[in-house]
Amino acid sequence: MSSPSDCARAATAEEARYRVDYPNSKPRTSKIVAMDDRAAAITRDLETASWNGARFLSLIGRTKGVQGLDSIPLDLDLRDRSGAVARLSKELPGADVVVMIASAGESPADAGIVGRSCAARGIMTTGIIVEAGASAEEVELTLETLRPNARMLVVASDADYVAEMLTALRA
Amino acid sequence: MLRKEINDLLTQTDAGTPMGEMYRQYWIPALLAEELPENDCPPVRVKLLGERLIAFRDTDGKYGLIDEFCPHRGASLWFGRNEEHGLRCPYHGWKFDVTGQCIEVPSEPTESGFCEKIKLAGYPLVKIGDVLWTYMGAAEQQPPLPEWEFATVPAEQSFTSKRLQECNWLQAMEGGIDSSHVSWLHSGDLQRDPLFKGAAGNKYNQQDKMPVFEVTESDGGLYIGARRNAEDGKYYWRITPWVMPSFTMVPPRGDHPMHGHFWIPIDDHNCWAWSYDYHPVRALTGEERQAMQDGKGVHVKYVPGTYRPAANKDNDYLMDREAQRRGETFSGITGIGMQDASIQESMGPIVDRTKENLVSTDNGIIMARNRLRKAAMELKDKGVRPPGVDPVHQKVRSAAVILPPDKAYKDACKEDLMARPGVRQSSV
Ligand code: FES
Ligand SMILES: [Fe+2]
Repeated sequence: MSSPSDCARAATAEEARYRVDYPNSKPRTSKIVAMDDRAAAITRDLETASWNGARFLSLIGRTKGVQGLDSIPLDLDLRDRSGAVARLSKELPGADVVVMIASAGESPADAGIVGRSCAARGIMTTGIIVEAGASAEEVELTLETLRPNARMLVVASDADYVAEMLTALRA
Repeated sequence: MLRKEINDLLTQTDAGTPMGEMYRQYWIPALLAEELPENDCPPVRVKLLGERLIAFRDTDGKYGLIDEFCPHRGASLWFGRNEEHGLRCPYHGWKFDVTGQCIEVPSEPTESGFCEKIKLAGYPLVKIGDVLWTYMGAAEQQPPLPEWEFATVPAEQSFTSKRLQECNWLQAMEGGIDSSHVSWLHSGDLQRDPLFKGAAGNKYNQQDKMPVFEVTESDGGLYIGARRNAEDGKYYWRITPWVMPSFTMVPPRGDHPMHGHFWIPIDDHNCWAWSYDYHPVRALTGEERQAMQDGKGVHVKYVPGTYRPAANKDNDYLMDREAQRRGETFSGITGIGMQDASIQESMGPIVDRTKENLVSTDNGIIMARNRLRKAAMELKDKGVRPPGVDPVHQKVRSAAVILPPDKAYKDACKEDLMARPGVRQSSV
């Protein structure tokens, strides 16, 4: 046994040195949407760090969809870090992931618009609920709102998880 | 992706490293009780957290875990004679008790008391359940004894095994909280393995291969909930607890025994994968125990006389390409335990996490790393005792339950997620 290619040899520390060294992924397009004021404060602190193109947005409110029926809001106005107003529908094309940040106790009704818009375009959604000392009822309230609208949900005790997760995801 | 400094921080557990010091806050499994079956039996070499040690059981049945090497001229005490309340080095006859205290130096006059000046490092070794546990930290900070349910139910309800895993502890442990690999790597075993098949809940797994995950923190670590659709708009939840630093429990299936793991560093390139199986309220059946001994479920078959799996990297894990083609096994490797071990060893001794491309479903892993890093640093900087040391954190259970769609499982299942003596597990 022990040809250059069998597991005995391949799994050694020595062989780990020969892993082909190159960037094995292209930059991703990540949109981080703060769903309430406290969440916006968290992302504001992060905006200044260096990211791989992550775009930080905060919710302003509903707006009429471009091709929507007049009375049904289908789109959202968002504010980017420069203060400019952006439309959700303009932000989504090409996005790999949309991360919704919400504070426990809030029930951001507009999560439904984010969730449905992403689902319609096949975009991955992740929700982070920042607990920060909130009660179980408050967490449940926010969970209830985000759950139908995010394919992955995290309840984090501390706001620092947001940065940690975005780094892990190469956002 | 993880920065190199953090990968080093989390994977290195020798004495003096932050994670090493953190592991030294816990009672950890050191040996199976069967390795020291009787008083004055042969001593056993043990390597844990990068320390070479020797375990023995003296004439009174007391257990000890001490430095492997004789302080006289460095011979291994593995050759020692275990006789009359101590382990005697066969080179020049120095003798040690279970605490590592030298109790005889034959070349020196007894009256000189010379032997009192000689003491090997020693750690307590305590039998709870099928396991001998040790605590390798400072004596004055020794925490209360562990109270994991698998180790405290009556002996006939529990079975524990261990296997050598030839890679770093963290990538092995991450497999235990990475619920999203189950539908792939272990697909096939759900229907066939005697310790899994036949549960009512299995149909939800089969109907819905794309579970949605929810990760939430617990006092001792995390819960990872995998949600699938059940009848009438309800959800089928499989909830895995992780307790720091490395305990996990697989969600139950029907009335099968519950099982899970501990990953304990041997050194930075090897770990022990401990696997337990127990039923909270009934004795294991003869067939169940036999299946566990035969290496089914989370257990493995061994190279005779060792705890190294019979399928190992020297024989390409007995790869069966035909079974892989037929879809009987997804990776070509037989058995859940070895499917995990082979894949995790293939990542290299310490996987380079600067290269990985994590996705949203990896949040359980991201959160576990986050909590480990913070706990290790809080211990280092402020002396804060890490989660999981307190026996209250150890009284956890996994659960497989059906809940209304609007419920937070952590609260709705508070009781189900607690070890409750005499109460059956919550399982469908
Ligand atoms: S698909 Fe996950 S490691 Fe390859
Ligand atoms: Fe696995």
